Amino acid sequence: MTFSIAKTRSKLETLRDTKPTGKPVQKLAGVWVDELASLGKAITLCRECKRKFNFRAYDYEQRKLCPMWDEVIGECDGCKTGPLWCQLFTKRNCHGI
Amino acid sequence: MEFENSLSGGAPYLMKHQINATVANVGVPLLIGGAGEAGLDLPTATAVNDMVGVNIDTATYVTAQTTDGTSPERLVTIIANPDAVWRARLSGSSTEGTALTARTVTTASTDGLDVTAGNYSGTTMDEGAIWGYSGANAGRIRKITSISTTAATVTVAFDADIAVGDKFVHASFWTFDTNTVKLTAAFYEVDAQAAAASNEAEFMPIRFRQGDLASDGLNKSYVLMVARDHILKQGDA
Repeated sequence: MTFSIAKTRSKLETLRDTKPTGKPVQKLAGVWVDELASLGKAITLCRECKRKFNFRAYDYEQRKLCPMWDEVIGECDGCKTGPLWCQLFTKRNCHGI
Repeated sequence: MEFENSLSGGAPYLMKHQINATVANVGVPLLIGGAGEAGLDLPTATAVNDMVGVNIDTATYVTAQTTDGTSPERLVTIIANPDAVWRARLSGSSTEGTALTARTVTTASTDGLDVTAGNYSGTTMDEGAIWGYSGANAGRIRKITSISTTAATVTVAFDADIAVGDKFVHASFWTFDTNTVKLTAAFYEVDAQAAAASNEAEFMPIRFRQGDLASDGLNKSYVLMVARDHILKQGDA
C-alpha cells in the first residue's frame, strides 16, 4: 500500500536526497514512507505531503508530543524538505512510558 | 521518558540519525557516538554525558549488508531540543514498571517534622523527597534534610500532624538540588528509590508530579527534569 507524490525533481531536491537521512536516491517518496510505516517508524510529513498519507491504513495516529504544539519541526519524510513544520505520525499506542 | 515541553516554549525539533547500538525502547536518552562508533549510543543508568536527544521510535543495529533489500543504515528519530523538559516515571527499582514503596508511620509526629516509618539511614534518602501517600498529608511533598535508622526528618513541617498509619513515599533526590538521578536498567524511567550516592545521571530534576492513594501514586508518579549535559547546549564542551 503506497501513496504517490508525482512531481519533477529539481537539482536541489536531488542534492537533498544525498543527505544521509535514510531514503535512497532511487527510491520514490511514497515507497519510502510505506517502508517507514511497515517498520513502525516515526514519520514526519509536511503540510503538503501529510494530506496524501492515509495513516489509519497503517494503524498510525497523528501525534502531539506536547499540548502546546500540534506539529513538530523536522524534515519531511515525503518530499525531504525542511526542517519545517511537520505533522508527526507514530504507530498507535506506541507512546513511551 | 517523554517530551513535556521546552523551557523556551519552542516546538519539538526532530531529527533522524544513525545508531551505534540497538535501541529497543522508546524514551531513551541517546548520546553522541565516540571514536570508532557509527552513530548514537546508549547511556548507562548513571551516565548521560553528551546527550543528543530522546528517541521516539526504535531500530536494530546492523553493520553488514542485508539480504532482504533493506539498508543496513538504521535510523532512530530523536527529539533534539537541548532545553527540553523530560517527564520520567518514577520506578521503585531498577526494573521499569516497578511500583514505588510506601512506608507506614509507626510513631505520630505532632509537629509534622518526623516521618517515623522505617530505616532511612546511610546516604540512601538524605536530601531526597518525601510525600504523603495517604492520611492528612496526602499529596504534600517536602525535602528530607536528615535521616536516621527509624525516621526521615524534614525542615519545613508538613501541613498536618503525622498520624500512625499514614503512608509516605520517598525518592532519593530533590528538585534544583545537589542530587541528580539514576535511570532504570532500560534507561527510560528513573530509579527513584536507589541510594542517593548512585544518582549520577546528568539530569536536573525540576519538579515532581507526585501521586497519592487517590491517583495511584505508587505507579503514577513522575519527575520533570532537564538534561545537564546536552551536546547542543551553548557552552557545553
